[in-house]
Amino acid sequence: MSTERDVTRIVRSWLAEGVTTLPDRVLDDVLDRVPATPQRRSWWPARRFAKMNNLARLAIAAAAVVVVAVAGYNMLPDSAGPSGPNASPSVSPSLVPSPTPTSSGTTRVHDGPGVLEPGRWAMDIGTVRVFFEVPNGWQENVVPDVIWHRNSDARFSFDYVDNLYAAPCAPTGLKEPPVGPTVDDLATALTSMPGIEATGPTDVAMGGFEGKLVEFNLTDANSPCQDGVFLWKIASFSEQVPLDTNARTRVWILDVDGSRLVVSAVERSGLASTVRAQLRQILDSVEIEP
Amino acid sequence: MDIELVRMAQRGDEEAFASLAVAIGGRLHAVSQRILRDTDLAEDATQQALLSIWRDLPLLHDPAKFDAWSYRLLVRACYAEGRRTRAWAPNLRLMPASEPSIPEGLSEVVDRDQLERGFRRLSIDHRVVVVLHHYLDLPLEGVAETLGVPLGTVRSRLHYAMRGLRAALEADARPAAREAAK
Repeated sequence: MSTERDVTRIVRSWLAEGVTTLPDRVLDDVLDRVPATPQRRSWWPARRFAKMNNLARLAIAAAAVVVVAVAGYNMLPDSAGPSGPNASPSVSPSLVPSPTPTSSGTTRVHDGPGVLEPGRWAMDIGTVRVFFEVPNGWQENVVPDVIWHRNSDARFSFDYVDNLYAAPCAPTGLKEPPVGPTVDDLATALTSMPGIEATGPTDVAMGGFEGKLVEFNLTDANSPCQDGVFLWKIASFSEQVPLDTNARTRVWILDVDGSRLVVSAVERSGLASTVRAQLRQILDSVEIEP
Repeated sequence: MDIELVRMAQRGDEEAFASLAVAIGGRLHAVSQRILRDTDLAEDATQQALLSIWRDLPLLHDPAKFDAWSYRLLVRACYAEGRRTRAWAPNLRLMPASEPSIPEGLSEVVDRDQLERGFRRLSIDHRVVVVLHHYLDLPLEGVAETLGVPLGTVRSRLHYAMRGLRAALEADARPAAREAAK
């Protein structure tokens, strides 16, 4: 029997082989493209998440009022004079920022994963914008659109699900015919995955939109699959992600003006009550903008 | 890493970034090559990562964390390349761990082939953890910080990845051993 140390030594030795230099042509190509590649600044609009707290919104609104006021003042006819009756600038309401956090309309701008500062965030999922409030300690990692608690496997995510795997233990082929387009179609399909116990579907609402909730409580004992239970493929990710075992996985399927948005939340057994409460608060804070 | 160089590049100094790119390019490429196991894909991923580093440098709050941050962008670029090409089998498939051991004295060349096949069967999540830990020598805490996942997740991924590689080595060794015994 080979020892763990043997395998580690072989793997390390194998990894040590191979290229360690970047070809000059690749580096040259990068450096040629740098002048035409603008750097993002902290105010850069094309952030995938757009964070804006109430204070910032008020500040921007106030700044906009001032800018418009000055511009309006400067555009007044000279004859009116600074003390004339028309000196009061008119403010165009359309120039005052909306209270809704703003971000680029681009939905898949990848600016890298990272920690989410506490506060309100916006996230573009396809054509839908989702808002939520996070406390300290949550972050996005390399899996797009999945927000994790930093010190546990607790997480929530947003996705579109077009179809499910035909066999959850062997995620090589999708259901044929595919799952239908409605919330009920997906909810029914989820609760009838072969060998997988599910609760629901039950009627729910989230972020102002109605839908169905399906819940899985998969354990090592009741999981029918040795290598993980796979339900669907995350649309924006190359990997297949299995359901967590010994965890409670809730799946909200929402009809957002015809778009079927899927929100998932995972809580492992033994999750700290504080983190569980945070996750609940985050989900309670979700707002959805079609 | 020269933090002053990072700060200058953050302020838009292209020459500073060029020096930075020269300094880190080889290391990033070595990592992407080992994750993707494909020269063209690795070059594309490294190139994209370097451009992302230039583009997003002003958003890096702590220049002292440049190394971990740059690896994170590289990993993201590797995922993107994988998404574009679907060059690997996406799911980790474990084989029984209680199989016969690797015969002693088995050729290193055979090991390499076996590892190559076994590694290509791993998901990128698992490959990344193996490379960051066993190639870059990052401690598991550093891998977790780089990837932005919990430490337990890193431990789990490494465990399953190494188990998969071990199983690949041992499974492939069986026919070879039988051949050798003839």
